[in-house]
Amino acid sequence: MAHRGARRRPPARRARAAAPGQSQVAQAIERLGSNDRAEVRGAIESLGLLGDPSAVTPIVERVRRGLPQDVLDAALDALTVLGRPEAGALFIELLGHRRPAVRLKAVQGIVACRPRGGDRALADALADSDGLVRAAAAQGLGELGGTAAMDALFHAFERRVENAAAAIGHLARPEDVERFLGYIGQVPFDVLGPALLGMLGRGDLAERARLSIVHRLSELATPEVRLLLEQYVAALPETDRSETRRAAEDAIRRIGP
Amino acid sequence: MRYALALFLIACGGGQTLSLTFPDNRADDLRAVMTRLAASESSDAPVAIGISEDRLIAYDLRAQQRLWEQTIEAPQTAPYIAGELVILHEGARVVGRRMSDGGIAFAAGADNLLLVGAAGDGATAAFVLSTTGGAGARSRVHLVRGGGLGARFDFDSAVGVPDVRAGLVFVPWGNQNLTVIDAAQGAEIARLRYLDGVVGHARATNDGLYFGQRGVGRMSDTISPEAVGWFQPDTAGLPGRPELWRSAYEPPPGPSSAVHSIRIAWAPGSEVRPDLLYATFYKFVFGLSPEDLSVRWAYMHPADIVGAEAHRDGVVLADREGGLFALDASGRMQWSAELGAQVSAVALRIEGFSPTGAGGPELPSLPDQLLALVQSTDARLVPGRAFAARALAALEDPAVTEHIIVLCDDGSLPADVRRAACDALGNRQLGSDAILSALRRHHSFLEGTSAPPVGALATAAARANERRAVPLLVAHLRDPDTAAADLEPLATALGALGEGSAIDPLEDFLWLYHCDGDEEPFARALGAIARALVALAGPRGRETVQSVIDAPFTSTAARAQMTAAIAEPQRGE
Repeated sequence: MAHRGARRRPPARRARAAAPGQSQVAQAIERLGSNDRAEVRGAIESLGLLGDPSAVTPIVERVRRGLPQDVLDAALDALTVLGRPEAGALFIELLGHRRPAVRLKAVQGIVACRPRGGDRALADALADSDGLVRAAAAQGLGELGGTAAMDALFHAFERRVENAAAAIGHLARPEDVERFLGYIGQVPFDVLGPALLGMLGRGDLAERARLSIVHRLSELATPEVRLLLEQYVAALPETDRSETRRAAEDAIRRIGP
Repeated sequence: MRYALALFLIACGGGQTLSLTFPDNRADDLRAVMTRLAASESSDAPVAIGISEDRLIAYDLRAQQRLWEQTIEAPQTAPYIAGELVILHEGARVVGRRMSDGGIAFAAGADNLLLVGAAGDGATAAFVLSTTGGAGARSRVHLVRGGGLGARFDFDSAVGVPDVRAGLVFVPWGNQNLTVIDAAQGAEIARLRYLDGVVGHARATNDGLYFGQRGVGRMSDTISPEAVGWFQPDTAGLPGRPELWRSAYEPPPGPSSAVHSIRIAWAPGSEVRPDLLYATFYKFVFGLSPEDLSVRWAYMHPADIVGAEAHRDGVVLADREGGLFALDASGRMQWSAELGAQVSAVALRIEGFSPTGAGGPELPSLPDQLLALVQSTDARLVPGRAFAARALAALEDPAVTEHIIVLCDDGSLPADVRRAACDALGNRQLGSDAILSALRRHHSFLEGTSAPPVGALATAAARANERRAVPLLVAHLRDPDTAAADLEPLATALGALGEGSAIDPLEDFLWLYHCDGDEEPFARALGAIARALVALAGPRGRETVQSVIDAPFTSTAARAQMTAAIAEPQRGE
């Protein structure tokens, strides 16, 4: 980890202004250096509640000096609430923490802070040995919108990483849609369905890609396909007159009851 | 007459006792025995005698045909081949059956004693009944001539496993003595006393008389370890810890005892020491160098071995399914036959038997032979598999390294087998390429890869002074999938390799986890990291470690380990 020289320094006194909020922040930062575990934890929780961005760096430094598990958990929660990119490097480092619960919080922290390189870090976390961390990383990639990680997501999907399909559904570009449709027949439909529904519902996805989904599904013509298309149509506004809607309604009629 | 006078006839039960004053190790007596043995020739046919719960089966090895099958009741021991007889402890009796047809030649009450052993040569035989044990033991030696009971000798001590040849009965007793009785005279004619090893068994051949238990010597006209060519291998590392001969002064194994599957078969070489030892362990047979017990070949049989007898050029074995087979001295299958019934133990007499045949297929390389044993899946064989893993690791062939890394890495292997491979890996002089290549691998769910055996590889890297391993080791230090038990050797290796680039990662680790060292392996790892820091960074490292020790939330166990670490003097300090 970086900032080695800062370790042995007491947390900086940052609050000089007279504003009441800033004074509370300054006092809480001061208490981060306490030898009392409850006091440190209380200070961290206060800083999270106060929401002052100036608390991020002192908390990060305190985490790097090592904390007992419960206090570390509180610190990561506070940094996630604060959601500042300054905490991003710490969260990325903590993806290698020995405790899976810490790695899970690190994933959530990255999603909240959106630091530079966060998508690459989450793509790496898809290979984590802990299933919850992998699932959170997949979900996080979907939320971050990191299409650079699409190959990793497909790889994770093939390895049955939870949430990978949903993330693909959230991020897929037209070429990704075609790739995803290639899994029809190879992967159980209940795994593919939610992602396909997500793709169909995305207004930002080119109509030709959505039409491609409907055409491919209509070839299957199974009750599951009919149900999925019905869900898609039901969720559309009545005013929707898109070609995809018409194709879906045609497919529903062809499949029959 | 001189010898007959040496014996006291006692009234108690009609048995004779040995003279307390019979001279030990008299050269003339011993020479006379050796002369008679050298002139001897056995006319007994090679046979196999198999036993099951209720059957005794005799098989002629030369003719390759069954001689007979007899029903038995409550067998207490494995059968003993005794010249023209087969002797077995059945229920409360000792029963001698004729080798020719299996009919009962004699039956004698065992009087609550155990049948320790029996032997014979032609029409002369002897068997030993004993309480076994040490103080307070009592024993009887019965001579058998022409199928009928003859003279009896009573001992106020434990008696071991006898042999018979050239009309002489060789009786080990009291751990250090061996009496030679002339069967025709019914008198002791020589006594050997050996104080440098246990004497529990006798084996008479026309090469001489071999005696011993954990070790073996050959009678000479002077008795000393050098003169008898005493050979005693350290067999404690073999699976099941068999000795050259089983302990003769303990109760004999039952007919279904594992002792029949876990043993050493050997034949004396020209200078006593065998040319090869054959260690069996259930389905495994190892051909072992007598010098250091290194494995020359390893063979896995489809069924448990329950009998083995070695000759100068190989070994004849019997299996639980009734199979008989011979391996030559290179471990290659030479001959096989079928007893025709399942058995729990088989006694073999192979003098004069020369197994011949088309021979089995060429053997794979020794590493492949051993690997096959290590990877067998029979749970009973774990000690044998671990032994094979250690034997594999002892091979200097660089190609073996890959095998050992794979074994050390294989989480599906039993812990003992895997530990043997990992220990061997840590002790092995590995090629740099193998170390670096293995260390590059990390656990990845997506790639389906697992973490390599980091601890053993780190130790090997340090031994090879392979500094290129440092960044790879640092990557494993940061990898959450590195096992806690591997962190200690990893840190030790980083300290030993002396690369300053490891200082910062070690510091980071210490700070980040110093509150988490409640578990012992992890606390030890933190101690090792502290030691490495001091080794690499000198006073600065010591200052860092002291700061961590003084930090408010450092775990008690980690604090103790780190305090101990900085208390140790460092090189150059």
